[in-house]
Amino acid sequence: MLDYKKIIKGVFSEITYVGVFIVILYAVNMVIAR
Amino acid sequence: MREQSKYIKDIRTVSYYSGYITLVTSMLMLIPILTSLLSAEYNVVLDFVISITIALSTGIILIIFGQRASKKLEWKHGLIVASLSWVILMILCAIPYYLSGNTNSFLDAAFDVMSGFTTTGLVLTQNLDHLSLGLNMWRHMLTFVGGQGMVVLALTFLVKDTVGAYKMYVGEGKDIELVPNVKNTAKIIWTISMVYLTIGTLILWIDGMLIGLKPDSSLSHGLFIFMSTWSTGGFAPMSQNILYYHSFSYEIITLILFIIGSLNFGLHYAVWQGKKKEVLKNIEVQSFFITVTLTAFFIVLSLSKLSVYPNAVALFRKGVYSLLSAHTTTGVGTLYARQFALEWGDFSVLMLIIAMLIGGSACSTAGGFKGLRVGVVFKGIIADIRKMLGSERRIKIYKFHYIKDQVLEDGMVKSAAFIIICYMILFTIGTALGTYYGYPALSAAFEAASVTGNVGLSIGITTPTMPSLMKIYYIIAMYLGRLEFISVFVLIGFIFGGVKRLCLRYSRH
Repeated sequence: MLDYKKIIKGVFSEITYVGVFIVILYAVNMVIAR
Repeated sequence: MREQSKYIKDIRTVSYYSGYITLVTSMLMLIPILTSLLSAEYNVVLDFVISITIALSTGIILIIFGQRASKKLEWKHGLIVASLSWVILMILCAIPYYLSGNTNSFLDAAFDVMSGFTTTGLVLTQNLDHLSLGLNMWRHMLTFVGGQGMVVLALTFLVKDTVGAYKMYVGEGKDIELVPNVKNTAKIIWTISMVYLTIGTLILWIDGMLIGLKPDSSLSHGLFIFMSTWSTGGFAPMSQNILYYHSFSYEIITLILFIIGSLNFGLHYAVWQGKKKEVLKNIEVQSFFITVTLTAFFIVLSLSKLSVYPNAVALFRKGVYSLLSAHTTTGVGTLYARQFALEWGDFSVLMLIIAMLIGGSACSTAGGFKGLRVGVVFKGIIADIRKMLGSERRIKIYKFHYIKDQVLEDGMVKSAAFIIICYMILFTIGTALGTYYGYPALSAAFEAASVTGNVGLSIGITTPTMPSLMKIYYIIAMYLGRLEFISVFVLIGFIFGGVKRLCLRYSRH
């Protein structure tokens, strides 16, 4: 089952992955729009 | 005669479990009642008291009717309970909408409820900017609960016997068991959602205050926007949706929330258990990454060519944001509906339609025909081509990773292709219906993709003045798209079976 440490680490990992994905899309957008 | 009695027994079993699901979901009306009491909206309290009385009575009557029946669920029972409960709840949950006087008709109220339950987010409720806090709470709760599923909610609290529970769970379009027991699976789904509810609301509350909202208003907006984005719903407390906030930070926070919300609960659970590599290996994430990047690339290219936006940041905030909102089937927007038709150009709109149809992940809050099916069909095609090119004597096994390594079987590819075909038929009929009523073909296709994929973006067709037949078709499309056809087909088959028996009985007499 899940404990607090696992939950915090899990949420942090997911936000990081999605954050990186958004940065990639932002970079693609900046390159094309230029 | 024996067949007749078996059919009645089936009806009683279905009635018993549908009654339980109705009862649990109806109890949720206590939250808007409390909200309305705290904000001194006494007329709204009365609306909800009337509604909860009718809803609880319906649930109890259904349970009493089915009490003497066998509690053992067969596959058909589970699927029928799931699909029938959604219809019963659509009618019952529409009562407070209708009593509030903010909808033109009961059909409009039912449309908004189905839109909420299926996490679509299209709205026919009027005077959105001046809705009571209680009704706003109800709207957003419906989309939040619908995202996880009413059956999942009922399983968490009520059903003790888990022998047949999995069959109801599957009927709601979910098929992953995170742990061997389906009741605990339901609890984990709710744990994940409630953890994000706390974190997401807190962040949006703080950011809301930083952008100038009053603390109490910021809290309610934060809670509503969280419930909407996490469930890939699309509702918002204001008619301008996310555009109302005019804030880049608010947009980024919602962007993160609805992308995470569109991911599979199995993936959340794997990552929370420390299996971080699952994100990179999962076929659904790979498929999502590829299709999002490609459609975003083409949309940015097309909008840049048309010089729709003055700079790259505006392009990201309008173009890429809308694309991600469409692809995750969220439907929140930073644009007015007509801007898609008037500014974006046909190519960009076409890209949005494709993104809306593909949708998010299976066993998540998202709609569409899902990245998993796209990945499986794509792998199936590659496997077939390789088989043709390779030696006839060699038998090669093809695998893919989805929570665990799985062998790619023909049956899987066929079933994925079948669901995709069903979605395409639903989308085509919706488009044809729109054009029949005189809407331009691309606009009709946009709206049809939005309802079929449970997205919620609108190009301006969905309004209270649209033809009633289109409203009814859109309700059916949202419902079928969300439950992924099979359980609804079983329900229809069950009803037709009953009608056929009745006809035979009368013809004999």
